[in-house]
Parts: sequence; C-alpha cells; structure tokens
Amino acid sequence: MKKIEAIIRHYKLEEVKNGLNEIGIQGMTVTEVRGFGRQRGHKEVYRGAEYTVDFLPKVKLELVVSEDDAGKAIEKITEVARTGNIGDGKIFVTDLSEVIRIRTGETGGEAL
Amino acid sequence: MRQREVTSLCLFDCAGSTPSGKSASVVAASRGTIALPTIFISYASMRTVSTTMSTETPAERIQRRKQALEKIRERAAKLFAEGAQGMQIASWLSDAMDTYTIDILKGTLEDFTETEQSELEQNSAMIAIGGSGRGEVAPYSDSDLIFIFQPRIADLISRLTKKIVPDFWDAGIKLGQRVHTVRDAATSAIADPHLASSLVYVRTLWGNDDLATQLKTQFYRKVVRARRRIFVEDCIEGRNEERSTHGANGQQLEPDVKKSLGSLRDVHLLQWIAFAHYQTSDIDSLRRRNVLTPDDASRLKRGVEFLTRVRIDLHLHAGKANDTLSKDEQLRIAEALEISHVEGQRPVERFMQEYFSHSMAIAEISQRFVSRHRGRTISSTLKRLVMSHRVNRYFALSEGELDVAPSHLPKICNTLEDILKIYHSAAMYQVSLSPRLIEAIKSTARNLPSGPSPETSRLFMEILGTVGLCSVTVRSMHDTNVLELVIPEWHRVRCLLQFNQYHHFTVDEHTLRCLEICEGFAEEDSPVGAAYRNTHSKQLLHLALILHDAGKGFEEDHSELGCRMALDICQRLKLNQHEIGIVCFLVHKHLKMADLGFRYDTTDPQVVLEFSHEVGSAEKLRMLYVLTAADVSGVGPGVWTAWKADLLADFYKRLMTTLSGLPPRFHEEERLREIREHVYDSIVPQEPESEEIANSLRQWVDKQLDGFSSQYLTMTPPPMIARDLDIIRSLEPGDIRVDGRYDQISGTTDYHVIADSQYSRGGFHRISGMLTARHMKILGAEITTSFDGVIVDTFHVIDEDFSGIVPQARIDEVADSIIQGLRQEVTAKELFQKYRRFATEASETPTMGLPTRVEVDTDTSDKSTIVLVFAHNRPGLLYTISRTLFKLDLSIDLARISTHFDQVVDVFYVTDNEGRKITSKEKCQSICDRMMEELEKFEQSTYREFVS
Repeated sequence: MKKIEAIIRHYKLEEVKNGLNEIGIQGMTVTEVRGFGRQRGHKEVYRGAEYTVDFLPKVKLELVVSEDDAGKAIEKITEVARTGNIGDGKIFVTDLSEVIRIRTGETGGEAL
Repeated sequence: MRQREVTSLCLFDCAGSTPSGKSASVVAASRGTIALPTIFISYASMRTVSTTMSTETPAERIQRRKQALEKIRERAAKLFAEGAQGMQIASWLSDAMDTYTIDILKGTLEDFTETEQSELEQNSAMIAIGGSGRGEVAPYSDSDLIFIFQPRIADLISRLTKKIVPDFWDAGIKLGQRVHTVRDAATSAIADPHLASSLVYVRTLWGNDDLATQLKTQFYRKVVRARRRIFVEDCIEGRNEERSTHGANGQQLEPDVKKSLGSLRDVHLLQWIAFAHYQTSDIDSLRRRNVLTPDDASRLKRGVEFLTRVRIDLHLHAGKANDTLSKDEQLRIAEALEISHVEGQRPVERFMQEYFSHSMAIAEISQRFVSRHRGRTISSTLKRLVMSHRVNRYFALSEGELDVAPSHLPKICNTLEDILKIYHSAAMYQVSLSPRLIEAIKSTARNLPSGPSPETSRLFMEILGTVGLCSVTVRSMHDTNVLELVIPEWHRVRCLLQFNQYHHFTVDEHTLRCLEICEGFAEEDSPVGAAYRNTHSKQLLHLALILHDAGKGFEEDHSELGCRMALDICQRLKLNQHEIGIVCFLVHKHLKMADLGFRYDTTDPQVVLEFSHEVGSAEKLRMLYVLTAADVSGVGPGVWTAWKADLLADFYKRLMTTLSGLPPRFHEEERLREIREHVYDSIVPQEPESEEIANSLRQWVDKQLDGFSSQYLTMTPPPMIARDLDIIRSLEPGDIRVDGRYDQISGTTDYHVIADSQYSRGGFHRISGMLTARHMKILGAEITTSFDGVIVDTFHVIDEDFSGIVPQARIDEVADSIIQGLRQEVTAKELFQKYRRFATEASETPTMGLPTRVEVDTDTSDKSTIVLVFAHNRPGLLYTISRTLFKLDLSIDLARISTHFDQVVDVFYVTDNEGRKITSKEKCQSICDRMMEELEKFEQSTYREFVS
C-alpha cells in the first residue's frame, strides 16, 4: 500500500477529486494548508511596492491506495493539477505498513 | 409537539398513599393536576418478597432490585408512549424512585437492632435534594440525597452509610449522597455553591422531619439570607461555567437539554435566585407575587414541559442518562411525532424550530430575571447614585444601563416609535436597556401591528448606523420581538434550523452573530478590519447582513428569494433607489465572493474582471467583502481560518485595484514614511548650505507628497517619485517634459509626461488622442495631478508599427506629437487624417463578451465622483471616453486605465470645473447616459468618428 500526499492549488481540488473518482479512487482527506516551496511566497511587485507573501494557501490531499492503483492516481493528480506554472505543487509517496478500519477491525487492502 | 390528553393513567393504582415521610416541600414543584400515581403494586410486592424470602442470597437480592428498577422504567416508557405529559411522567418517576429508595434503606436497616433502628429514625433523616428534591426526575437521572443526623448518633449513622452506599450502588441508583449534621450542612453549602443550589429543594423521604425543617431554616438563614449577593453570584457563576462547557449558545445544533443555554438549568437558575429573594422557587407563586409576568410564567411552564418530555424521550431511547439532542435523535423524534414536511422545511427542521423557540424563550426570561435580581455592592449602588443622570424627561442613565422610573413607564412605551426611540437612545449612549424597560417593551410589542412608518424606518436605519452597539441593540430587539415589527420577514427565520453538517447555528442566531462579528472587525488590524472602517454606509451593510439569509426555509434558492424580500423590505423602510440597489445586490451576491475566492483561481485576470464588472463599485465591493467574511465567520467557530482569510484578502485586493484604481488601503502610513525618507535623501543635499534651505526643501516635499493621490504614491517606486519631484521643482511655466522608454521584457513603451498646470484642462484626452492617432495601442495609464496642478501621467502603450525594439528616434517623434498636442499646435483630428490608414482598423469580435457598463459612483471617494467604464477594447476607445469627459466639462484628477485581454476597465476620478465632487443624481445620470451614447456611437463608426 502507498500513502499519497499531494499539495495542490486550492482551486484544483474539485477537478482532482473528480478525476480520482473517475478512476475509482474514493476516500481521501483534505486539509487547508499554507506553505511555500520554490514559488516562495511570490514576491509580488505590487504597484512599485514590493511585498512578500510568506505562505501561500494550498490544499493538501491525502489518500491511501493499493500498489496497483498508486501509479494511476499519481498520473491523474499530475495531469489535472498541472498548470505549467511555478506553484503547481508536489506529490509525496510513502510506503505504508498497515491500515485498520476502526469500526470493523479489518486490516490491509480490506480496510481501504 | 402535540399534547395528548392523558387518559390511561387510571391504569395505575392511584389509591396508594404517598410514601411515608414525604413532607410539604420548599418547592411546591408544579406537578400538574392529576392524582399522583404511585408504583403501589410493585412497592407492595417488593415488601412481600423481602419479608417472606429473608433467606435470599445477596446476589438474588440485587437481581430482584434491578428488576424492580427496570419495571419502573418500563412503566415510564409506557406512560410516555401513551402520550402522558413530560411533567406528569417526571413527577410519577420521582414518586416511584422515592418508594424504591426508601425500600432499599429499609432493607439495609434490617441488619440493625430494633433499638438502633428507632434511634436512627428519630435522630436522622434521608432527604431528597436537587432534581430529586424538585420532584422532576428523568428515567436515568441520578438520585440526589442527603442524610442529616444529630451529632450524638454519629457512630451509628456512619455504620449505616457504610452499609447503605454499596446497597444503593448495587440497586442501580447512582447516588450523589452526603452525610451531615444540620450545622455542618450549612457550612458545607457556604463552601460548595453546587450543594447550596441543590439545597433550595428539600424533601424528607424518611426519618425525622424536624431535621429537614431545621436544615431548611438554617440553610435559608446562614447560606442565603446572610449572604444573598454572594449566593446569587455563586449560582450565576456556576451556571456560566457549566454553560461554557456545554454550549454557551442555545442554538447550537446539538443542544444539551439539561445544560445548554435555554435548557432546564436556566429555569433552575431562575428558581434559585427567586428563592434567594422570595423564599420560594415555585413558578406559580412567583407569578402570584408579580415577580414573573403571567406571560413569562406560562411561557416558562410550556418550555419546561416541552424540554422535560424531550429529555425523558432521550433517556428512554438511549437506555441511559443521555441529555444530548444529537442529530440522529432529532431525526428520530421528529419522525416519531409524525411532523409533516412543509415547503422548504424538513420535519426535523420544524421540530428543532419548536425546540429552539422554547429554549430561547427560557434563556431570555431567565437572563432578564437574573439581571434584574443581581444584587449590587454598596459601592456600586453609591456609584450608580452619583453617576446616574437624567436623559430628557424620563430616562436615567447609569453604569452602562438606560432605565426609567416605573411611574413613567406607561408614558414612554406605547407605540413602535416610542420603542425605537428607546433603542435609539440606548445605541447612541452606548448602553443597554434595564430589565424593567425590556419587560415593558416586550409586553407593548405583543399588541402592536407590524410594519414600519416613515419615522420608525428612520429611527431603525439610524440604529443600524451606530457602530459599537448596533449588534447588541438588534439582538435586544430580536429578544423583545420588536425586530419582527420592523421587518415582519424576520419571523420566518426565528429558530430556523438548517439540518446539515455545515451550520452550527439556527438562521436567526447565525445572523445576529454575523452582525456581532462584523462590528468586531472595527477593532481588527486586518484587511477586513480596514475595509469595514472605510465603509461609508455602514447602516446598509448592517441591514444587508440582517437580511442575507432571510430567504432561507423555502424551496427556492435563498439568494434569489432573499433579494426579492430585501427589495420589499427596503421599500418599506423608505430607502432610496440607490440604497435599495446596494442592499439587494449584497443579499443577492452574498455567496458569490466566497465561492469564487475559495474555488477559483483568483489570480486569473478574467475571474477578477468578470466579478468586478458584476460588482460595479468599490464601495459595494468593500461591503461585500466584509459581509462575506462575517458570514463565513458566523457559521461557527473555526470556520473562518487564516487560510480562507488570506485567499479572500488577496481576491479583494485584486478586485479593489480594478474597481477603484487603487489598492485597498492598509499599512499606508508605513509606506508613506518610507517614501518620505527616500525623497528627502535624494532631494535635500547631503551638506546643505544652511539648515534653513534644507528645511524649506523638506517642507516643499511634504506639501507635494500630501498633494499626490494615494494611487500615485502606492504605485510608483520611491526613486521614481524622487525623480518626478526633481523635475517638478525645476519646471518653468509652459514646460512639458516627455520621457519615453521601451521595456524589452514587456515589449511596451512607457511615455511619462510631466507638464505645467496650464495644460491640465483637457490634457488627458489630448495625449490619448495623439497616441491613438499615432497608432499606439494604449494598454494602461495612470493619471495624477500634483499639488500645484502639474500633470503627472504615465501611458503604457504597444507601438504596433514595430514588432521588436522600438527605436529611440520613433519614441522621440511620438513624444514630440504629445508636446504639440498639449500645446494645441496640432489637433487630434488633423493627426488622425495625416496618419490615416485604409481598412486596417477593423475590430475583432470581443472574446469575453461582457456588456459595456458605465457606473457613476459617489460613495467611494469623498473628494471626487468616480466614473467607471467597462468596455470592449479597440483603438480609439480611450480617446472617445476621455473626450466625452472633457465635453461634459469634467476635470480628471486621477485615472487608471487597464486592459485585460480585449476588455478595458477605466476608472476616472472626476470633479466639476471648480474641483467639486458631483453628487446630484440627475447630473450623475446624465454623465452615465452621455457616456453610453458616445460609446455606442463609437462602436458603430470607430475611426470615422474622429476624422469627420
């Protein structure tokens, strides 16, 4: 199993969510986050006055999928969330050792 | 909830005597009128069993008792199912539990010798207090008991309680028990406010009744009468604490029937305080003593009945002490009550509306009662006497409260106008109303017809315009039902629940909270705070906030319906067309800004442009922004996050820059200081000839900077400002300086024009005419005027004759044309003819297709009128617009021209010839009409217009 964390532009959320649903991935957790990477709080030359926005609003998406689905999911997120500009975000993928559904106690793939 | 007649109570044996030892209580708990049914049968059978089966094992005994308890609850469930009233069931349960408790005690006593038994019975008493003492018990309530004993049987009583505590526990009674001597009980109650409040209700279950009487007397004397103010304050504080952990808001969507605001506990609070003052806590006695109005008393009793029945239902269904009315339970109860669906309202929403109407009534009556009976310290009474002064003939003002002598009440509170005058004074003096005044208003309001008159409308709008106490005043008007008299539509949203996961509050509560949050913005150092402070017509914003969800509870989209309702309401309130337009717009679009801000790419110029077009003025945008922030915050705690605040502030900044030509103002001071220092450094010589010269230079700089528009100051980098000022300082009469520069990155050429004040009239349209005639495509421009009337303009253009670098010679040539144009050595018309080309100027079809829109905005700026033009860009457009303004005899102080794709947004700050802001409605309309007319003509003929 893989855990996929994607930091994307907030307005891409609906599209990404729908895209993932289309390929059969349903559960996900969404968090409002703020941060910066290379886009580094776009230093905006705003009417001559330079000012820096330190942290930009983004959305973090977390989902856990089987090994098989991971590739598809990553591909989908990349495809939909891309605008080609700095600030499109990042995807982090980690190996996951266990998943347990609290209500039933099912584990592994069953619990997804 | 339907209240069915109880017909089935005769099934129970009502002939049984009440359990032994039950005495008249301090609380004559309102028990209804039916004869009290007892569990005579089971009680009798239990006794038989306990005597005949003395050989039963402890385990069997526990089993038998648990079954008996189960039976009591089954009977309660049966009564409930048969439709008995909540209070009847509670009272029946109280009796049943009394009997059950006494039986357990008697069982325990069997282990004592007969002498000991009679010693105990004569020298101690088992007394019900708190909920048990009140005689209001839910199926799984705890039993509140206290043992009182004479000091001389201390050993015996300690043996008894040691044995009886496990017996009670085994029998399934959760016991909050205490063992005290009379004196000791009073001392403990002083130290423990919780015990003190439960001792308000005392009822002997078993033993020597004299002890109970002593307890009552001692308690009243030592704990209450001797320290009445402290007792009252303790009760209030305890209640506040409890409420803060169980929902300080009565309209939270999963209320605790016992502990949330407006729950049963608020009735208890009223009773405790009543006891402190009148030595009774019975609602009917309080009514008879005129402490509660008949309306309040009957409202309270209805509320208690409703809540009690719901609470019993919750207990029975959960099979445990559950007082939380969760969403699942709301659905279940609404279904069980067979409430029907009405248009736009689900059964569960109707059920909760009824629930909240009861809890809100209880909360209001209780709070009013409490504040009226709150004792004052001697010093505050003195302060009150000293500080209070009369306001007009009747009112007395003191310590944040407006009051009136009782004898004056009939004179000052007879009509809606009277009432609004009272509220108006309260809002003006920033005080709240005394409980006495509120009671008078409430009882007058009940008999008044709804609908405002011109005078009441005026008063209401003025109340909405006060900042600081507007929300408090409106909430009080809501509490006294006066708000419905002014806005009858308010009745519909009262206690209206929105059954979903998102909303935390009912519509009315949400709305009142929004208003409070909005007023709170005034103190906030944030973009929203600045926007609120800069809003001119706060009364319109406040009115729109009150109305923004008024359309809820119907099938139709609430923004659409709300907008139509707002129109009616505004007309009734006699607002003018312009004001009506603003309020309706705000109600109609109250979701749109959040929707765009949180779900769309707000850095996309198209999104910004389209929405700016829809909003149409800076003042409206400002109000919509504040309303959106208040609306989102008012949904519930934690909903307005820094994340949302950032996104919305960024969107607002972009929209505001488009609509007013200026970025929103915050942190302006700091920026000004920065510019000032920079300009001083470059203009004042390092080593001035004399300090005097340096000072006069600094003064000159200050004067110039003060004279510039904030647009120029925020948009221009400080080194540029310094350079401009240097030029202005050396400008001779008749001078014109044009500086043209090609920017390789953007591919545009900037023409920066500084010209003596004699050219300022008509200067702008002449420059744009020259540039257009020379086939420059004007992308943007910033126009401003210095303190002495010097023109300081920048035009950003694309030279369409050059695809790459524009040679300096060409730039100079165009600069010369600008100079000639300003000097009127050549007219635009001549130049157009000279550089005329054939058939090259055909315009393309607009890609965005936004309709042309002209807005004349008098709200945003104090000094100028703003003319805002949205139009499809084509060569010559700016010239047409600026020439029209010139023909209209308007002078342009400031302008910002911007182009997004092929759409233009032009913002002009104009005044009349004498530099006065244009405010007359007719004049504004004629500007708007004339501009539309010229733009239509231009659309038809394009270039032919300029050469003919």
